[in-house]
Amino acid sequence: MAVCARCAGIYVGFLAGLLATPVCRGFGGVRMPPARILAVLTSPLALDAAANLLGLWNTANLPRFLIGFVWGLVLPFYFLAGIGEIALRGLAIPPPKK
Amino acid sequence: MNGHRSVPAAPILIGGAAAGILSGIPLVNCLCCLWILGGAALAVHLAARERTGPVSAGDGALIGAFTGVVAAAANALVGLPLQAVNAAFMRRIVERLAAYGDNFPAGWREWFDRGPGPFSIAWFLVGLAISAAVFAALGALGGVLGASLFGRKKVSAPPQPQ
Repeated sequence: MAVCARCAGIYVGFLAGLLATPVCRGFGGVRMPPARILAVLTSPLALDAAANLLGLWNTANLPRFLIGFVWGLVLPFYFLAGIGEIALRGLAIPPPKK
Repeated sequence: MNGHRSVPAAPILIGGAAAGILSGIPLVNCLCCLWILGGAALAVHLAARERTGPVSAGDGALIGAFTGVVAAAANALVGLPLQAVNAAFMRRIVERLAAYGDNFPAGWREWFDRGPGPFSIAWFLVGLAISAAVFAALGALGGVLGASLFGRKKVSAPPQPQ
């Protein structure tokens, strides 16, 4: 499936984040990172996408890829927190204390 | 889910319908999976308003996954009458790409001229199953993001006995 540079960056970043999450947080962490991190990292992506859609500027492929990569990199930290909680709930294992 | 046993059906249906319909409309669906993320986050936001406690990451993932499945069904139903429009839109994109590329496979014009062929319930169900799996995964991600943004609430301490 053909995707733009931004989406490609998101997918590659997501894959990299999947590898980085256990290294950074271990395998027992089910706590989500703060919402402000998501908001801060989403802002450049939203701003760039909106500006390109409105014709304010035309971002080159490499900056698009990098903006998407950074956002995709942080997504697994949230995603795996949710999946981890479901898995622990299914195994009737209480999540680790904060 | 977190002591709240009822499934938030209304938020899931609303979020899933919105995401599925928007991702099936030509031009609008160019945002592709963002609609599913947004629909799942919307479902979590609506579910959070119905309960007094916080929405955990696991709850958000489950709500989002169900929202993705509903979105896949809505997308499949919306796509049926819009099939010809989507095909024409895709053909215009491929024509523009073919003008720049020399390595396009031969016979793509004939493929578009042939069209999708008669409706097949088997292929419809196969496509629905695949999109349900993909949308459920995207919805789970959107649900967790929604739980992060909308699901954190301060749980007030119970009144101290005097």
